[in-house]
Amino acid sequence: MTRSETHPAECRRADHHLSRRLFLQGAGAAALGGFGRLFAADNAEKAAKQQKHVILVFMSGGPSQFETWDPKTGRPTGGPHMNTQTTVPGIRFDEYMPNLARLADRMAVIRSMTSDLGDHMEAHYLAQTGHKPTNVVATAPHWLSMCARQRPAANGLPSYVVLGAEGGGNMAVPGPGFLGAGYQGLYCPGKGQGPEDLPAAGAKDLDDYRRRAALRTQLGEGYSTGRTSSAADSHDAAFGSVERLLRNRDLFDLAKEPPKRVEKYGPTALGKDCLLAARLVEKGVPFVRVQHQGGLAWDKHRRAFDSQRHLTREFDVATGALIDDLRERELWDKTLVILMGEFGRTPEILGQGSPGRNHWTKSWSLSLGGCGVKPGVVVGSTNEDGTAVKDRPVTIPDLFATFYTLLGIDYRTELEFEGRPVPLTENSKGTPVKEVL
Amino acid sequence: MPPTKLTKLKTYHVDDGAKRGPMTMSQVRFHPTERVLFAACAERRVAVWNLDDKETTVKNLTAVPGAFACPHETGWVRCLDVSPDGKWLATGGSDRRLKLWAFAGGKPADKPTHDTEAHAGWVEGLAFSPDGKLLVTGGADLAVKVWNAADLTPVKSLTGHTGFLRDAAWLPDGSAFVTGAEDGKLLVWDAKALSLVRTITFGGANEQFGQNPSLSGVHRLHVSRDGKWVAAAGGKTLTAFDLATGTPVAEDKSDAQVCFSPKDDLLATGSNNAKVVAYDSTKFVPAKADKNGKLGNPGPLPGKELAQIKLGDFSLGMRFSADGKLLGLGRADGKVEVWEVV
Repeated sequence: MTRSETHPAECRRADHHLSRRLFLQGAGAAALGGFGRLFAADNAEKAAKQQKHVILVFMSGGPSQFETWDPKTGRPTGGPHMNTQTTVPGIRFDEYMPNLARLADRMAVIRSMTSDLGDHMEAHYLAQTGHKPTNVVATAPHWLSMCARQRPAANGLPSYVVLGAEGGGNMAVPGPGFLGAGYQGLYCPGKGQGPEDLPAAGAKDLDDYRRRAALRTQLGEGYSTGRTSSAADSHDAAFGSVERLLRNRDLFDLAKEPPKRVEKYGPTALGKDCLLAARLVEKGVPFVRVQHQGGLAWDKHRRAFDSQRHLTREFDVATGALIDDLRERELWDKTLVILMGEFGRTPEILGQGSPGRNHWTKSWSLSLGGCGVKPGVVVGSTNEDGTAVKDRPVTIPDLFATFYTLLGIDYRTELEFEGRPVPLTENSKGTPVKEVL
Repeated sequence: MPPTKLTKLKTYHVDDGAKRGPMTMSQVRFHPTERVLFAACAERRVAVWNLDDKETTVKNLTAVPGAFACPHETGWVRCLDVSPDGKWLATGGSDRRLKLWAFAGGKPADKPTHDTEAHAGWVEGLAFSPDGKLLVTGGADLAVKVWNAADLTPVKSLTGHTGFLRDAAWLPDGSAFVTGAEDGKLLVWDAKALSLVRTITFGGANEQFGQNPSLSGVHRLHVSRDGKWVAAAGGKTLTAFDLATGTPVAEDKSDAQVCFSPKDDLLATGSNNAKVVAYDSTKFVPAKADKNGKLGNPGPLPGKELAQIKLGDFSLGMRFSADGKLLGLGRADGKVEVWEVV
């Protein structure tokens, strides 16, 4: 499927599992000791250590930049919220983000995001695939599906897990697109729960499952013989993942976490999902998408400023704990944490009825950290009232070029769908934001 | 003769020409002795009108134009109250500040007489005591604070709420005051001992999430003229309680807003649609406990509905004048309607 197989930065199949250096290290150990099983285990562990991770916390609805990372307190556009000094001199966040303010010197903030799709679903699609829905030649995959293809998990773990759903529309959480069902994020319903409808635990149930799977494989082979069917391949891939899940059932078991760790994340659904995301990453799952509430919760057209306090506060507690936890567990340097929505909100306080802000794509904010992101950086700025980007505009393609670069994936890679080139970012546009690299 | 109907008098509107959305009134107060109306709105200043000014028509809007006064440096004014003698106006803001403004010559002074950082969070709910000597404030820091009204020196900070404070009101005899919060609780405080007398559970506490967040827990509260009843509104419900026992005595499906008339047994409530009820407290049906001790629902609010006034979605701000003859109703579109109680 990969079109630019010879591109120096494009990974080859073997790169997914072991580097050449790791392989030689392992071969040397085997030659000296001949401990084949140790060799395998050792290298699996090392390969896992090479793995980079992403935790994307998605703030569906369009978080207000004014009530998060780019407050304009005291200006006519500022609204009622106050701000608080962060650990980065001169940089202030919303008053209800004390934890993220404390961690500002560990994260980077982009205050000059600019995009052009103001509809929730189109913007969700753009912000999570890098492609506009109207421009795609093939259904674009979620970028974490793309990452799962380029950097799959070692040890048979799921490569990409989705925690929680956004019910606001069918493009809110894009699927694997043309990559096929094998790269679909493993869906968990949220609130810290694992996958639904798995066969029951226990050796007998696993045996039963394997027996049914063998029958299905046998029947499937009969169908596949002489046919080239990506649908059948996807079907097989999806079923193949179930047995892996059955073997790794305790991946999702938050009851195994000590109460003190659980407490730090707060009692909310987001807190539980952020904890589960940290647990999955710690166990080796590379890519996790966390949904912050369903129902376009950040879409604050009305009664915005009062209710925003609750939303921001739980977001701050959960994501602050996540960042602290990843750092304490020495996962920070290889885990990219992204806090973002699909766009921002209007500088003018308009509202539909009571005060709120409408959709705004011209100038908005997000935050990222870990995985080599330069800490304490604030990229770009907006003007005094936040009505326009003042300097250093960053586009969605720029953002994806940055994400892929941080993960060691060449953002100029082109994949192929039905003989047509499909770049990772739309029309291969975008330049990595060098300030955060 | 008890009142029998309400008649609309005038509409009041404020606009300083700045480009922005509707000012969205959130609290309304009448001056106790002069013909002046105040409103807190989506602004760092208070809107002020002379009740007797004439309506003008600008761009299809016929309303009495107002002015802005009592500026806070940042944020929005979240609450205000006028002292019973009419000499002082107090404002609390999301900037955490409590300001005291002298009122003379038909308007508040340009600068505050006193100005203090009152809470570690938005100041919500503010009420002068009936004798004008004390001020009570609530804050997003969950604290209830009592102040000397003359100079804003702190008297005592009280704790007990577990959610953002929303409103405060005194009993007419000054013996106690009540605070309400998003935790769904009404706390009744003794005004002399400055200690908690009673906790009343209103309920409705939930986190305000989603695209259409409700006003969770207690949003507004008020005490009846005889000091017997306290009514709380929030979420989707209005409940009246017996202040002496904390027992729910009546409920209604109106929401968000409530105020009693200081002169008659009248209660105004509702947000999108305000209604005014001449209630009959002799027909209150208190909630009863079942065999497991669980309290049931009280009876519906008994009385005669005098008016049903359509205000539009998300409208807030509701208060009777001190003589009970006027009712001010704030609207989300930045207007205040004044109705005469006849």
